[in-house]
Amino acid sequence: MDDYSLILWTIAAYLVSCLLIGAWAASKTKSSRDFFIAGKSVGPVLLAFAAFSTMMSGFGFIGGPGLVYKFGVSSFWICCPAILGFVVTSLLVAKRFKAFSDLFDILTLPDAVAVRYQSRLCRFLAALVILLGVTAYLGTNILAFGKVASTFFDIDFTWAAIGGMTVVILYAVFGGIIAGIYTDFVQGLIMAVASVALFWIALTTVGNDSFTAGPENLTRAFREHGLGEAVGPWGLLGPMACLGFIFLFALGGSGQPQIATKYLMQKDFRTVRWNLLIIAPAYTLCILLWMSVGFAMKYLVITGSHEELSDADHAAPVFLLEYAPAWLAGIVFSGLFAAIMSTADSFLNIGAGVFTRDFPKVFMRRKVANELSLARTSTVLLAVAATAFALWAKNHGDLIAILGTFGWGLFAAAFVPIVAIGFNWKRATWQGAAAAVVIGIVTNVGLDLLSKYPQGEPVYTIPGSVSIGAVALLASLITLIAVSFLTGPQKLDKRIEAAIDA
Amino acid sequence: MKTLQDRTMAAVGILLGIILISIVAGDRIPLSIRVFTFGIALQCVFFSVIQWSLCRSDNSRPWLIGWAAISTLMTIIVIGIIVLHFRYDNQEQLIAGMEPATALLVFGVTLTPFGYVFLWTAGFFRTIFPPGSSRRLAQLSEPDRDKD
Repeated sequence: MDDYSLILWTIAAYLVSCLLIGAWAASKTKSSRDFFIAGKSVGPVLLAFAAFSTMMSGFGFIGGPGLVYKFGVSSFWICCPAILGFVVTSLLVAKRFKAFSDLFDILTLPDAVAVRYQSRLCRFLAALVILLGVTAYLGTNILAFGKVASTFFDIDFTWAAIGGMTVVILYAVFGGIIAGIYTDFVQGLIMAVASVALFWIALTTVGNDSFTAGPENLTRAFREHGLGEAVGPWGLLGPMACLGFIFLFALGGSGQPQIATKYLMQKDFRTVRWNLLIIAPAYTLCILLWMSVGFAMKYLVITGSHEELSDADHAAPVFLLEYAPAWLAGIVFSGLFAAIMSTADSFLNIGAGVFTRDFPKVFMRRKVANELSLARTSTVLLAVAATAFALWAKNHGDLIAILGTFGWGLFAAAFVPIVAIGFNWKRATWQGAAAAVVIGIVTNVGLDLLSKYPQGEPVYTIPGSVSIGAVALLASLITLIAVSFLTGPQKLDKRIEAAIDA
Repeated sequence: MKTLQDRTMAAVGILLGIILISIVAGDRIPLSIRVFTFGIALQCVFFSVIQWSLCRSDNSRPWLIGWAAISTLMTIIVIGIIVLHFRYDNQEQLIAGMEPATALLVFGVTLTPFGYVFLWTAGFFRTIFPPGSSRRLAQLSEPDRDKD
């Protein structure tokens, strides 16, 4: 069997196992509670892997090494604060969500927001942000899947994207979030193990078969080719941008609905004690892949061993195909496809919640009769609409790219104030929450457009290459605090006070 | 601003404002001052938010001291990176094949957050989820659950 066939068979076996997981999960999904929060039955190991895999996602395989290739060590400040981010999320969100979901009928993040602030406006705004973010994330994931699959299998892009989404629809519709969580678990294991192997291969490649010589060869080669800054502590983006990353990624994690809703699924909060002991080492192992593959590929390019890449995001796929053993490449590519698909599944699930739970409660002021059927129908329609939109947007400017860049920042700016802060601070009011969400959206979209248009001479760029998401998060947090102090205290139900005090 | 939480949040708001100014001011303020201001204010924000989220019983005091100690270590490491980078730019001496500042980043900033993980695990039942907390929730959870 040649290398290509070996990789192909590994991927095929993995995709089949994903479908089997979906079929098994379908037998476990009997209500909307199972569909959205896995019947609140998720134990600590699964929960930890699901949270970590959702955070790392396909971005860890492709985007991370791509950023290292492009900006050097700057990228380290994105992945490194994530461990602190998990601690902060656990402290600010995990316990509160458990308390609220024990006291109220909560299946989605806007459900929780509506209960906390006693406001339909806040529920509507939260649902709107989720729809915007889900469109962005689904669009970028569909395009990423189409890009990798069409290159790898040598098929038409449109058919690759449609094929991938068909598999996702099959297991997302029937298996709900249970399928996603188990796929996340497998993906997380693959990423953690493969990262160590790839780290070894990357450093021995750079070190001319010596693992220990790798870092020194890399540093000296970068300096000799005028790229010394890239291996300095701030990389090519500079210190302000790196500090902005710490702020955005350490605090922003607590505002990501795909992570926060995982804490609605906990079976027993006491077991969450062990979560971070699983997440932190697993994430640290993935940092090895993130950093080493990006640097190794750049080293190979600047020393003339490989031609310049047309796109920084090709760094990991090219390294895998040309420098890693076929069996390992097959496993990592399987993990990559799984990451993209489980991420798409998570976002479809969150998006379906908007149509099943939130819009009916906002516009009809009641729950729908058969939530599970509506959840499954919404998942199909959302997947079809997102695929059609992504394929249309691909040929119409850089709409998907614009959406994709502010996905994380949008969720952070909108949800960190109202979830991470508002669920811990009784004085936060519904007016403050609503204002924070609006400012979060406007600042994100506004700064993104101002920094891109007119092309070549943008109206405004943030000094020091600080990310838009960091500035938007600052603006929305300040808004929540200021508006909450300016408006009268909100009278809270005694159970809400108890959940905040718990 | 009657409660400790309210006063802490007001302080957090001011710190966030300082960070925002240090970003948008750009070159009007020297880079080293902006970096120090951002870094210190950031640590204060994290500590204040965590302190205010947990500072609800006397049991949390040792935990908060632990958090403060790790945060101080993290601040020293970041300041160390800034000093090493600005004062000894492009030096020949390498540590584990990296510039000293980069080595401090790789080993220091990566490993220090494990201190927070240890604190979370070790102090879970004393500070994060004390027995009284679970009892209160259990008492409130069953009646009229579906009312929202």
